[in-house]
Amino acid sequence: MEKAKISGYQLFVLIFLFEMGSALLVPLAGEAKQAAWLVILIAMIGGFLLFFIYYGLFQYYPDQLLTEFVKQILGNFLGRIVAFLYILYFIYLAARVLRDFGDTLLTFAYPHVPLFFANAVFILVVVYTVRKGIEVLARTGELFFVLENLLLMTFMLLIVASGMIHLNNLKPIFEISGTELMKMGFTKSVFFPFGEVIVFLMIFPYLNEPQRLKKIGIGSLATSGIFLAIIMAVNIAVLGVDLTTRSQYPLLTLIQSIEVAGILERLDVYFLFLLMIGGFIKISVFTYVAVTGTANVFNVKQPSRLAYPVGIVILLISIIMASSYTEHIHEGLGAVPRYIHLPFQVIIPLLLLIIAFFKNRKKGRQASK
Amino acid sequence: MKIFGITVLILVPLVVISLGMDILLGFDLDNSIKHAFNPFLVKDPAELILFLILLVFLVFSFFYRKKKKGNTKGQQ
Repeated sequence: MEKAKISGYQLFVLIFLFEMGSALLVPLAGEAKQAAWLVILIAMIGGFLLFFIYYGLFQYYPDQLLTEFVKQILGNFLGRIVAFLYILYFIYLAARVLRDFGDTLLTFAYPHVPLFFANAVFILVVVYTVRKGIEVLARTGELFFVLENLLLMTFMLLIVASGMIHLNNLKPIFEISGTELMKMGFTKSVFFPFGEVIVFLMIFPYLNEPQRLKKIGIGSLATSGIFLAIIMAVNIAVLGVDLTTRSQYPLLTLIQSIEVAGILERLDVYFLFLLMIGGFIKISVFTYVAVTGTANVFNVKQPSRLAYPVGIVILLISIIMASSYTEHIHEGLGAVPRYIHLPFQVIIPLLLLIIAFFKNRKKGRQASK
Repeated sequence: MKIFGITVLILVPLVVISLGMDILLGFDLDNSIKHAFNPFLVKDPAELILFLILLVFLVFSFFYRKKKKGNTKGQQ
């Protein structure tokens, strides 16, 4: 663990940008049709519940990383294995996000550039940031947060000014029954993007005001959830359900359709900026967490030495993981939530929390005797 | 050399996971291996050069850092 501290505001910004990262890219909760924004809000509440599990773990071990306290909870041998599995999970997710962004860049802006090239350039920047440490990453986040919000605000203004919002497209909201909506919210959408906040268990110990963590975490999850819900609602209100769910990148389709006074049009670069800011922070956080975790599990004295090798592994896996974008998305919607997100985001943390609870109760009793 | 070992130890399970994902999607093992390594067999010259440069950097970084550690030992 490096000797660094980040402020509450910086953590807020990191979580916000992390959540917005690749969730802006895909039609989130598209299967819920007109109620997609409602499903996102339900998933956000599910995200709060998951956050409370992680917060509970953090409260038992406030100055230890996930990979450290797992060893304390499960013992040295089993703990090391679980910590190693978590490192693999973080690297795998980093590779998935990198692939998402690489493929998006190719389909949208650089059709003749090889995927490997686009991904390599992206990961080199990430490796450079990760080598500099968490403080630099947090300050970069602070800078980007302002830019991202400016872009989002002007984007909303332009959409409203161009008069493309048709609220009738959002009706009927309750075409799908309430229980179905709940089911959708608490299964797929909660894992991506809200459950991914588990990576911050590796960053919480750097916070200089841990007593405010609950407010910061819930606040940033709520802000990002509301933003995502609004953006999805605007998507559907402008494009209609059919086009939104069929479109590979609904936000891009939306931005391309902006036309104000015959001058402001083809604002694709907006999309690219929003995308790159979120994606960069998301991949950097995953990579940073993987690097510190690996250094911790394998007792490497200088974590920065691992940044480049881990970056190359992420790059290779991002190429190997699927032969086409369709396959990649198919995996991401089908197998990944069920076999990867569910155990790592819900089952293992819940088990850890239960064991930690009993262990600490025992300790508390012994101390009081 | 430790860093090299760690890199391999991370890379191998992740390749197995991505092959496993392919198998879960319904491909057989042969096809999923073909899918996984096809991007490395079909490469543009520019892509290949970048790939080799990155690999050389990777190998170089293991040894270079080792030497540096040896030099700075006395100062610490």
